[in-house]
Amino acid sequence: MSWMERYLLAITGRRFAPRPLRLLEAIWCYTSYPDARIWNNRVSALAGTTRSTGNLGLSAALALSEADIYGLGPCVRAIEFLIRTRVELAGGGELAACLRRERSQGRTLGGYGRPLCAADERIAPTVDLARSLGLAGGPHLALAYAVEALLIAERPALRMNYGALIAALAADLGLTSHEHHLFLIPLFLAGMAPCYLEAAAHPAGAFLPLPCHGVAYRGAPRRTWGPA
Amino acid sequence: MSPELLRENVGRIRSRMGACFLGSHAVFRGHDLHAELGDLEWTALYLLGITGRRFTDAQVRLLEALWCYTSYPDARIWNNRVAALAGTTRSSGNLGVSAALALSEAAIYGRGIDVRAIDFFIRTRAHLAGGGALGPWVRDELERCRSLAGYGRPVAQGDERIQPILALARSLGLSDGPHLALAFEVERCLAEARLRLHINYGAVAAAIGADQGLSPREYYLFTFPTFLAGMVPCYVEAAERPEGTLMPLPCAAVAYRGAPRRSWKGREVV
Repeated sequence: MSWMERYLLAITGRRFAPRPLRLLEAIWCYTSYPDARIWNNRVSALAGTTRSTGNLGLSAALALSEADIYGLGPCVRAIEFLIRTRVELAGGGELAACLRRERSQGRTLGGYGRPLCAADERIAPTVDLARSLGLAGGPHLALAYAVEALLIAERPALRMNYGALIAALAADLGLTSHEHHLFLIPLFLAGMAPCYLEAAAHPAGAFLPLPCHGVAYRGAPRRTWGPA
Repeated sequence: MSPELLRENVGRIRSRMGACFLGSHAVFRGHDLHAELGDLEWTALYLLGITGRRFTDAQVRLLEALWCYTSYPDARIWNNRVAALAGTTRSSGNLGVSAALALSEAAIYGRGIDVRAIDFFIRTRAHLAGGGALGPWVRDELERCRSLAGYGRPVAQGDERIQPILALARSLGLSDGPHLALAFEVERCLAEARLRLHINYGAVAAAIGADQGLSPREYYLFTFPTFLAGMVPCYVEAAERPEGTLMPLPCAAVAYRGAPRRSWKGREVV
């Protein structure tokens, strides 16, 4: 049994066939970017530049991969939304109304829109792979695209991102939101170790130093500590 | 660290590892991640990230099995216990597992042993290649460190993980490396010295890692997810049970040995 199969068995108690396993494994691979600008990779690199240990750096980077605006937060919100919405539609609900309600509750829609760039380079290769494995015909994926169509009609920047895509694929493979959350823990891990190594190979402290003039102090002015 | 060097690095990351070009592509160790490495399985990608090298399918299978064969979903194990505590206290699975991974780097278990074991084998091979003898070297190491990483095991003498991993290594044609042979020679030395320090999985795994060409640092980073697959079930099970019921400690179990009960009134503030 491969490690991936074992990891999924550990989370779900179920065995997965080779094709779903291949897709789930690719979901981790296709977003493993060894780029230290990315918020969690930066922590791994900071461990390297401060000469902390690789194990501690990677653990800390994994811990804060559970962010609200990036990483596990939007991914979990996306799968919860897709599963919830599918149930509502099956019960006679209407998608536009579901979307209006979601957005009126002040929640951002996990998995749609991307900072800096609306296009997501991970989508085409992941969808191609899902198609080649015969795993692109699931109802959650169809729903994810239907949501995108409605959103971009209103705001073109709200294209589907990787978070919604992988949430839909995971839901179509039978993962619950809780299982998806646990499945995602190592999502970025393969890109983190190179960031640690590179910062550790460079001079200590040389990773993204902040100059004194980079601090814009806005607190109390200089004062004496004597009796008032 | 000179001010000039700091200044050169303000707001700038120099990388040979890779980068993401948003909306276009991503580079991983000099390769287009999706176009060139899209078929790579995750363990192979993880290894490429650490080493910059590609491994054969058989090597990846064996190295991955090093993780699998010690993934025990048993909440008594020190690091799994942390994952389970996250479940029982209703923390998040990600935080529980991250914390459990952080303290997998222990001195008496886990990463501490792994690194000491592979470092010892690599040093020992160099010593033997220089004409040194194994027996005195092992005794010196044992005297200096007061233990030999990868030899001896608390509670039990046998190690149920060794035979399956050796059988797999043999079936893949990867069991004839010099570090693995050395690991068992060291065990023989210890037995001849009447020391009941049998080889454990830490030594076998480190020797296999070294035989596949991993340096101590590469092996150390490779072993990071070793226990991960066993941690998640510990979290899940504790989270499914009523909160706070994992290993509660009754008041009677605390044997307080501090200052006796006393009054705070009238005490001088020092």
